[in-house]
Amino acid sequence: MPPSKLLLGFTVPAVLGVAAAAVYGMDSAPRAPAAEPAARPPRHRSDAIARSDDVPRPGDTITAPDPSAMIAAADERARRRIARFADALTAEAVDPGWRTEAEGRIRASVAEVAVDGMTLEEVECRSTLCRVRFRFATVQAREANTRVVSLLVPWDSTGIVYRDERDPLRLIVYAARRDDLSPTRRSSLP
Amino acid sequence: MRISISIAAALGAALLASAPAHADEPKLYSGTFCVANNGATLYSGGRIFNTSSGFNTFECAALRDHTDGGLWGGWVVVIDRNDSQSARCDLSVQDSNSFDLLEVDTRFTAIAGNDFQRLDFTKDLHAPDPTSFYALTCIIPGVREGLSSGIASFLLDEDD
Repeated sequence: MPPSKLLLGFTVPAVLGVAAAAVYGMDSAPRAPAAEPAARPPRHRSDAIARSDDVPRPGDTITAPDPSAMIAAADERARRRIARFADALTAEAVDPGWRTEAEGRIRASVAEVAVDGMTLEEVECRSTLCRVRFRFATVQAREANTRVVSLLVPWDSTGIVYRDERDPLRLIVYAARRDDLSPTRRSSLP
Repeated sequence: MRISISIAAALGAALLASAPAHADEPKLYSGTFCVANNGATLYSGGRIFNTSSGFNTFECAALRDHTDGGLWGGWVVVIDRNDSQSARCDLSVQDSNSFDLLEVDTRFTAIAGNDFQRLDFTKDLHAPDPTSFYALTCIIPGVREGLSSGIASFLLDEDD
């Protein structure tokens, strides 16, 4: 948590409280009787929502979001993101020195961790990106290792992991050479 | 009285000016929020340890309570007592339908078994879909000279 957050979260009320206490302490005039306490502010956002006029009441018609539309929109965003990585890799020139080193490190890392039921199908690195294809013995093995394969790229990196729509036994990883070289960092596309 | 109010107002304004440009909501979790997807483990003192001889993968649960935002990053404290192999962790946004990782940020411990090491996830992770969730995953080295490695705690800084 940044120090400014600490200051904002805890110190402001304290400072203002101390300042106010000092004011009243120096003031020799008799204090007015305490006013009726104001209504307490909500303790949590959910309390505020519960008191809002937006909360449905009995008899209101509630329109639930369409799950299939949400999934379709998510899939479309995922497709655009995958295409961005694929296009970026295709458009890159090859940095021969880095390519050899990066591909060798990935192969060594996969051999070191040795995930059951997984084989390294292909590694391709160019100048800022690598694409790694993994193949699994079963769909269950693929599902179990979706969160593992990105960790087989052995450097601090950013990227994506997705299943191949044409092959249910394959996972594909894109990993950037450095954080700031990821295609999603170089554009405003989420 | 008027002067005092002005002082208080000025103090408040100065402190507000130092506020971060974004609203964040960090949440801290103990290592026991993690589970192993294979191999032997030990939960002890709020931590999770890999007690097998080889690598073990730990997947850690994390709350997403603001579904219209993403993550400003976070960190994980790894206990790496294996002086020949690194631990590695990644923080990602995972799609709840396909289970694809929409964005991944990966970090490694320095190799040397430096015991407690904090790995910082410094990049913000977009979570454009309200149904996607946060995923912290670590590959932890096996026991070395009788010492187990594991995860002590982790923090995710959510966009409020």
